[in-house]
Amino acid sequence: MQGKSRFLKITAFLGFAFLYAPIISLVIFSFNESKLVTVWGGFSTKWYAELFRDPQILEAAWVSAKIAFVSATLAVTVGTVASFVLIRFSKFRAKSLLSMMITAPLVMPEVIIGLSLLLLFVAMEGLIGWPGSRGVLTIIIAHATFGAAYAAVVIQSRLVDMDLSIEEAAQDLGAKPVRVFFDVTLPVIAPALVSAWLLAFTLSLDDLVVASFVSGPGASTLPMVIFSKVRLGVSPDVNALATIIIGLVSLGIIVTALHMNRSKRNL
Amino acid sequence: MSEGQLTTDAKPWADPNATPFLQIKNITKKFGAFVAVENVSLDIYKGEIFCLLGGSGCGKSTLLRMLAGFETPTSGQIIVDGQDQAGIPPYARPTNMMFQSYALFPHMTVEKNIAYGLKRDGLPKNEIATRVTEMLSLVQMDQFAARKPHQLSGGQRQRVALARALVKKPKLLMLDEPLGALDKKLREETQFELIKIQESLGVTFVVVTHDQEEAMTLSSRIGVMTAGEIIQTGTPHEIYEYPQSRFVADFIGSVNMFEGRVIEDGKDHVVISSKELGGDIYVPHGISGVEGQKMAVAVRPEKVRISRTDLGEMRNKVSGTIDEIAYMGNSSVFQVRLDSGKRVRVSQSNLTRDDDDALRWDDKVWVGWADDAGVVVAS
Amino acid sequence: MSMFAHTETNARSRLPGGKALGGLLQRLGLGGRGLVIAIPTLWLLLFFLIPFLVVAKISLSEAAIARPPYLPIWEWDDGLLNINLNFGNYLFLLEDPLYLSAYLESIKIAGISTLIALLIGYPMAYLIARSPENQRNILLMLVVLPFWTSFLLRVYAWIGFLKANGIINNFLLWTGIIDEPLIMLQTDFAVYVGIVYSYLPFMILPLYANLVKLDQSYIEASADLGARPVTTFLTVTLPLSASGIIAGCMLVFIPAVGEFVIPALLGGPDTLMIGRVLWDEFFSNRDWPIASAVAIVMLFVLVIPIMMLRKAQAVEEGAS
Repeated sequence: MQGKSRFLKITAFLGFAFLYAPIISLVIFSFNESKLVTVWGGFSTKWYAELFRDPQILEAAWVSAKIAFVSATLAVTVGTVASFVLIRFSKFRAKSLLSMMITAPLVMPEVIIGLSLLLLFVAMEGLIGWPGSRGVLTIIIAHATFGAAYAAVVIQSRLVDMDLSIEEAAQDLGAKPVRVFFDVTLPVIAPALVSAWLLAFTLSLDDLVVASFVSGPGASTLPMVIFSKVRLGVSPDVNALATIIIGLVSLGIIVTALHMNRSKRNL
Repeated sequence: MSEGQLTTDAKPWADPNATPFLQIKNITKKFGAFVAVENVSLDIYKGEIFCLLGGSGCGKSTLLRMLAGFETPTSGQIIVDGQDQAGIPPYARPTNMMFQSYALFPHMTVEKNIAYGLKRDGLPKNEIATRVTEMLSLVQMDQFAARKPHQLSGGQRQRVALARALVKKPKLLMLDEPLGALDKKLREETQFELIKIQESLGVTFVVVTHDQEEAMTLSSRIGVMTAGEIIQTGTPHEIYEYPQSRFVADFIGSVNMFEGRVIEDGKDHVVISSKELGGDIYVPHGISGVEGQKMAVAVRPEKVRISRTDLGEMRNKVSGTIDEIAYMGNSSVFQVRLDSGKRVRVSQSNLTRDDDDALRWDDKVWVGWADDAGVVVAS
Repeated sequence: MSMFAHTETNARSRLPGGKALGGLLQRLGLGGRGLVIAIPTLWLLLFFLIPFLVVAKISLSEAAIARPPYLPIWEWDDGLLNINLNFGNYLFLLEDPLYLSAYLESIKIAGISTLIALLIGYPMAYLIARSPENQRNILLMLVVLPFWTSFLLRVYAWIGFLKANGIINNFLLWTGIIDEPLIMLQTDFAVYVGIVYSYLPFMILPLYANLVKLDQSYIEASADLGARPVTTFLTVTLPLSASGIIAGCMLVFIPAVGEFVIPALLGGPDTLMIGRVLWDEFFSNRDWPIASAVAIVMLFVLVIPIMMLRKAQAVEEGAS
């Protein structure tokens, strides 16, 4: 037993090291004076300064943030309604179709999702003249669609766990179905909605492939700009950007974890 | 014991002119091919505490959920206070329910939980406040008004759930295993509290439970359910002392069952010869049978007498050997192997603390019971 | 769909002498249900299902220098409907060895990466599942945390690790193990590292979910009955975690087959993966019909893994 658990611990340690070493190196070398990303040339914050002077990156970050915010909100809305319908409604004709459509994006390669949505937008433009030009709007739609699939996974598992009799009790006390949903169901699943929103937000912020397909000349997201930069090789200001993102994400996760812990204790 | 819930000692169910408050008429519920509730008819009167008693899966909860409107009957009719409930959604019914899990809204305080139903009725704010306060004091939860459910003990949650359901002054309150989540000691206290509250408000209760003791203490009447059907309805006393079937006799308390054939059909009695017992059973009044007809007699363990000496002129008696003794504290239970091989269960109160002359294993004994202690049941 | 039933009822309600308010509300409730179902269903129909039909359609059309760069497959010409189905794109995929080898290469790379991820992920998941309950969530969070930081940047980080004057080479040169830098970047090796690294959490999470449910007493019972730890693992733990293994493997394998970013950043020019081929057909060659055909064939390749995943997930759900 002793030997076995030591083996497990060493493997797990190496596994975690494997997961974190690249991220840590990103952070360390973002403070590197030298332009050679992997050769230490002394401490410096100049890459951060450079980053904040780069209008292209700032613009792209703003575009990405807007897209992520709107698409995550849409994704959670569609995901919540789909989950509710699938978990709570008795059988209806399109149920298995809906269930298939909401889970399929999870296992669909990004290139296929991107290509298919672009071709749809092009075809629709030919037919009805909409969406006109591709850009922020089409990226939002694309991100909301696969974000909804991820959101639905999180929300469905919460809905399944939720004690059904709480909803019945509200009905029994005189609340109509819509009221029950807003008075009881939504508040009870609220933590899951927050997780789902954050997940959809992150996925949107992170997506390169789908956005590249459905975007037009007008809109470049942050991953698109980063990709075109790093394709040419490592560049220290990307390290600085990565450090900022890692910092924000860690902060966000710590805050949500604390919040979740508190609300879990409250439920 | 239990008839007290009705304002007098009246038994409305025995009065042909009384109008039932809740009428269940030929209700059947099928889930696909599975029949959960089969052709149940039941009349419940105002002020009753009626218990639906049965094992899990017997259909009692489905019946309750149909009363609340969460399930639609496949056929049949439910009438509450003269109003047919068909097509009325749960939120519009004049009935309320206390859920087994209590189903308190986790994100609302005790006060908000109780006020929820009144708000849905659109009552004015000050009336809601008064009624909530009244309810809080009735269930003795005044100090806990601002707490959330997770800050309460099991017993306190139970009281909040009760208050929340009662505050709407429902015509009918349905309670699904109301004491099931409480431990034994608390359960006993709460039973009496529940009866007190019910008496003070005069609301009709329909209780679903699998716990026969709970049903016996709480109810004015019990309906015993099995396999989707109500097989006997009656007061706790009737159900216990006059079970009409083997199932009921067996389900409520324990019982010794002896099968036999009628050998003598007298004017005021029958005599049944039972091979199982190794003797004849004399049953007085109330039944008659054809000679040769198969019958079963049920005798409760506490009604069987046990003695080392012959039981004198007792008509129903046989001899045997003590096989097993279980000491239960307040009583002792003896397993006696009769000469016929059949085992009989006898329970005896322990009236003294130490009994030097106590019965021991392998003692030769006589067991017997009074003429009217046994009851003939359909087998 | 139920929307039709709903419209029908509405039409009836417009008849003169409509019913009372209660009836109307009830009908609204019914309509509400249909509406609630319609929101996600229509959204996904329009933005998920129909796009595939469009892809299928365009994969049968002919490429052209136009906007959009393909010819329509049907034309209305003087009362005559001309349908031109061009199977040439699919035939082309068969003829040109590039595509076949790209599919095979993708499956090979995804398969080997999945296996490596399983070998690393299983012990980690096992350890987390067997940890004291208060540590589990922290360890799980450590597994998930990288997933929340940018995927692209995490792949990018490996460039700095793997390149000729990168961290690994610098370290090895410094220790004297090697004399000249190893060539790791722009090789298949780098792609394996990138895929395993990026998708490891997808392997660990379903394995953990399975293993944490595994009753410790099975293992104790097996030991009690005389099985050594290795035998216990092979005869008890492993079979009971089969569905978790399949779920984890498919969650890594399926996206890895279609991966674009990792081969594009870490792979060499000869690392042919089908996602990259599709990307190039689309963006560089602007051959939308071929790109569509590549996508449709990729879908067929993935049907079996997707079905295996669904089955494994159904088993997992049933078990919980």
